[in-house]
This record gives sequence, C-alpha cells and structure tokens, in this order.
Amino acid sequence: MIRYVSGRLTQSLLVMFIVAAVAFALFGFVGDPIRQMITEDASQAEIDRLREIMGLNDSVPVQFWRYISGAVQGDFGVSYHHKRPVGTLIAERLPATFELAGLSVLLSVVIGIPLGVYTGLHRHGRLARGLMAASLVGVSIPTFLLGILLIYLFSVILGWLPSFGRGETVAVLGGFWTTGFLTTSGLRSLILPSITLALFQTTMVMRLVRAEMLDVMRADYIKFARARGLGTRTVHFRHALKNTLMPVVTVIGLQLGSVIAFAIITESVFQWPGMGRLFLQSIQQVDIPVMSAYLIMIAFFFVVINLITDLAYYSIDPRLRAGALKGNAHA
Amino acid sequence: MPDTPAHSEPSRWQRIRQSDLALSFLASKVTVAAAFVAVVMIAASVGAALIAPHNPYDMAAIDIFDSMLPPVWEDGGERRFLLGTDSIGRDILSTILYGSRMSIFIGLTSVALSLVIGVTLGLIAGYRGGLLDSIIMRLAEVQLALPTILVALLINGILRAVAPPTMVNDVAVLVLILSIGLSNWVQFARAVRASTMVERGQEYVLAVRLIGIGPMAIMFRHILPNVMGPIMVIATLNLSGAILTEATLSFLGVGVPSTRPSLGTLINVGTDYLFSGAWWITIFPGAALALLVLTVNLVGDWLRDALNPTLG
Repeated sequence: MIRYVSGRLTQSLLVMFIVAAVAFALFGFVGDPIRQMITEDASQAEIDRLREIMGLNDSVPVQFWRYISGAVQGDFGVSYHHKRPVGTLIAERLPATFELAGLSVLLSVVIGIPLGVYTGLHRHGRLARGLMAASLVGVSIPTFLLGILLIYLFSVILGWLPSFGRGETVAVLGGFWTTGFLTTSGLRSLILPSITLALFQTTMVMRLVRAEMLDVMRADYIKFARARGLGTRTVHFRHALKNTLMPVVTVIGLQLGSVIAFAIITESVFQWPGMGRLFLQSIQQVDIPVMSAYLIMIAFFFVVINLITDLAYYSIDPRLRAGALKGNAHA
Repeated sequence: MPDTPAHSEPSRWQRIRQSDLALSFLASKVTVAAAFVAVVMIAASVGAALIAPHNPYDMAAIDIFDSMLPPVWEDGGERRFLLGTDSIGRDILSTILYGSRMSIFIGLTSVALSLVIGVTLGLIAGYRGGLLDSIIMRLAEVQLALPTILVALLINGILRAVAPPTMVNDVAVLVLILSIGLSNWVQFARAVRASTMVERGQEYVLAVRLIGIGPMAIMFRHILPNVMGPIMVIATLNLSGAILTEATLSFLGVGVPSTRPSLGTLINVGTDYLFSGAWWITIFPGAALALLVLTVNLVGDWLRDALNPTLG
C-alpha cells in the first residue's frame, strides 16, 4: 500500500516538475520579457538595471528555482497586459470557472447515467436507438456552435435568458469566493453555459454506462440473480448498475480536468469571466506569464484528480491490492 | 450477382465489389448516405473555384450594397445569393465552399502530420524498446492526459510568441497545422507501437535481420506495411476531430484570419450579427461544419467496426 501510494506520488511530482520546466522555459525564453515592459525610449542603462532587478542575469538553475518557489506560493509574476499579479488575476476568475464546471459535471451525471441505463437495458428499443443516434449528433456539434444556437434560440428569439456574463454575484467566505448561485440573475446566467459545457460529457457518460451495462448484463452473476427469482428492478439496479459505476466514477473524475479545459470555449462564447477566457486572451496578446501560470494550474488539477482517482480505485477494488500490480491502476 | 459471367476470371472491380469490406459497406444504409454526403461536400469544396457562384476573395467583385441580404426564400432575398450575404456583401454559399476547402485542407494536412510523427515514434518505440521506448511513451502519457484543444492552444500560443508579430497572419495556416498535428500523434504512436512489438518477433523480421538489412529499412520497408491497417482507421476517426479542433481554434480567434476564412472563422465573424437578426451568416456555416463532422464520424465508426470487430 505505502509503496503503491509513494510510487504514484513520485510520478505525480515528476509530471508537475516537467510541466513547471516547460512553463519556466516559456516564461524565460519565449520573447524578451524586458521588451514587453519598457517604453521605446528606454536607455541601455535602464534596461540593464531592470534586468538586474528582475534577476535575468542569474544562472538558469537559480532562475528556475526562484520560479518554482514563487509558483508554490501562488506568485507567477506580473501580467504584461493587465499589469497586475497573475496570481490575483487567476484567483478572481477561479470561482466563475469552478461553478460552471461543477454544475456541468453534475448535469452530465444526473442526465447521462439514467439515459445510459435505459439505452443499455432496451438495446433494440426504438427510443434507445433514437437516443444513441442523437448522442452521435451531439458529439458532432462543436461546443461553440451549440452555445451559439442556444443563445440565438433563448436569448435572441425568445428573450428568456441572458446571453453573456455571470449576472449578479455575491461575495462569500469572507470575500474570497464570489458565487452566482445566490441570486436569480446569477442562476439564470448559469443555465445556458452549463448546458453547453455539459452536452459532450453527458453523451460520453451515457455511452459509457450503456456499454458497461451491456457487458455486465451478460455476466453469470446476473443470470444467477435472475435464477434466484429476484425482481427485475433489483437485478438491474442493485446488481447490474452498481457494478458499472466503478469505471464510470473513474472516467467522470478524469473528465473533470477536460471540463475545465473545455470551459475555455464555453467561456469565450458566453463572455464568462473565468480562467479559460483569461488564458485565451493571454494567447491572443502573447501574455507569457499568464500562459505559464495557467499551464501550471491546469497540470496541477489534472495531477491531483488523477491521483485521487487512482487512489480511490485502489481502495475500492480489492483485486488491485491483492495482485502484484505495478504503477498502472487501470486494469 | 446475376450479371456476373460465370466462366471468366472476376475483374478487379468485381473482386472489390465482392470483398467483405464492400459488402459490409453496402449493407449499412446510414454509412452509404454519410459517405455520399461527405464525398459531395469534399468534392464541392475542392472544386470551390469552379462551383462557387461568386469569388469571395475577389474584393473588386464584392459590392457593399449587397451586404446583409437574407437567404432567397426570406423577404428581401435575391436570387443571385442563394443563402444570403454577410456584412461586406460576400455570398454565404461561396464563402462556405471556400471555407470548407480551408477547413478540410488544414484537417487533412494536420492528420497527415500526426500520422507521420506518430508512426515514426511508434515504430522506433516498438522496435527498439528500452530507454527510448520509455521516454516516448511517458511523453505520450503526459500529453494524453491533457485534452487536445488545450495542447493545441498552448502550441499555438508558443508559436505565436516565437513568430514575429507582423507575420502572424501569414503563418496562421502553418501554425494551425503544426499545433493540431503535434497534439494528435499519441493515438497513432500507441497503435503502431503495439503492433510493431508483435511483428518484431515474427520470422520474416528475423530473416531480414539475418541477411543484414539495417534497422531503418526493417522498420519502414518491412514492418510498416504490416501495421498500416489500424492506422487508416485512426486517421479517419481523427480527421473529424482535426476539423473540429481547427474550427474551434479559428472560432476562438487564434486560427486563420477572416481574409481567407475557414468555417470556424466564418462562424466567429457571424456571431457579431446574431443579435441584429442576421442568423444566416452564422447558422449556415455552422450547419455545414456539423454535417461535415457528423458524416466523417459515421464513416469512421463504420470503418472501425468493419475492420476490427472486437472493438465494437
């Protein structure tokens, strides 16, 4: 157990180290940070002084160490474009992205699992086939196009829901977190973006649960449960569904990271003031400190989520503990 | 087949028609329809210069007085512009044809780039093994953990930062191909590596090694032809993904500029006019994109099922 956990931890740290190195290389070597900060008529002496203050004359390992120790404390430097600390910029936008991503994952689970169970149990039924066809169409519609269609239908034609922004937000937890869940306009603003972001995940959860159900329903223990005279309901939900949920939980966990990444697109369509939009603007404006910081943040989410999922798997599935399994938990 | 002559050798065309693949293709009506639509769309966009009623790149031929005309069946529509015009008077149907050409071109070239990178790295990793294999596969794992769109955005951002600011629009297509191509190689590498590791132990490989042929020749001349099957399936499945990624990047404003638009750029430009009721500027390119992706997806799904029944 300890060996397994420490092995996974080392792996995670290694990934973070590599990502930090890439981010640092971006930060330090792509474009001249000095040129982004000075005016046209700065003298060479001023430039040299700035180089010295910023520590650009130090050796690369020293600079890298400074970058990492800063990043650990949430200090990612100052944005070229916004002229404010990147850490603050991200902290301001974190709640918007998390609320959107969290609601979308919730939606995709609440809608996707029942649909998956249904299509799995009534494999050849008309409705189930229709749902499967619809899910393929759903996968083929690009996220941004869905967002545009929803805006056109519900904001332009019907005028029911707002098409951009978060609406009114309330500061909670001592001003550290702003939430849109507590006001009507905030909730109304959440509806269209969260549906847009959830569609792809919903179809994925549905297809996965369906495939797992088809698999499980063929298993011997289901036959025996039937032979024992258990009711259909008990067999389907107590015996079949329960055993399909393990891979589903893993995939949903792993998808959480993708949802945060896909939020870039949704945030852009709905002008949602989140981290994704900040990152996108930083690419358009070649704002390297913001890009590097976002890269590290996203990698961190991914690594933590992966780690938790792997460890959860390990504690749920007794087969993993028994076998002489090396490193990879996806049996 | 009733019209097949009983005695003569079957011709090549007949052999193709009788093959398992062709029979399975013709048995699936949805696939036939999807392939038909996809081929028509691809052919129409390749021949855009011949088919399109107007040339949207020819500034002299565009009249600003034709701007914002609705499609022909709406009030105020004109017969010259079947699907209406955009804000500077370009014919929507023509911009869709030229835009699809750009989207398909970038999609195909970036898949080709992923294929070359992935196949090369997969062959090396599978044939050589050892440290090189571990490095390539660790890299693949890290990249696979991140979504394609994020990797593509990052590579895009880095390339933009490296390229001189004045040239950004000129190299936009190249930047797109590189960023999509570099973010999609992992699937190819994994598939090729797995089959290469099987082929490595075969007798024919041992035989060519014994007669003294070098590792490069063994990998590319002898093993590669034997591992190509799954690669074509992955390439087809990746094509729709690459077209989607291109459209997304262009929609986000980091793709091709609006002077030589792709479908994504057209949709992006069109959203500005959505609120004034000019829905056709966005919706038609969007429908074209969705149809293209859906049909390529359907053909890819069928190809996967037909060539590899175990994947289901």
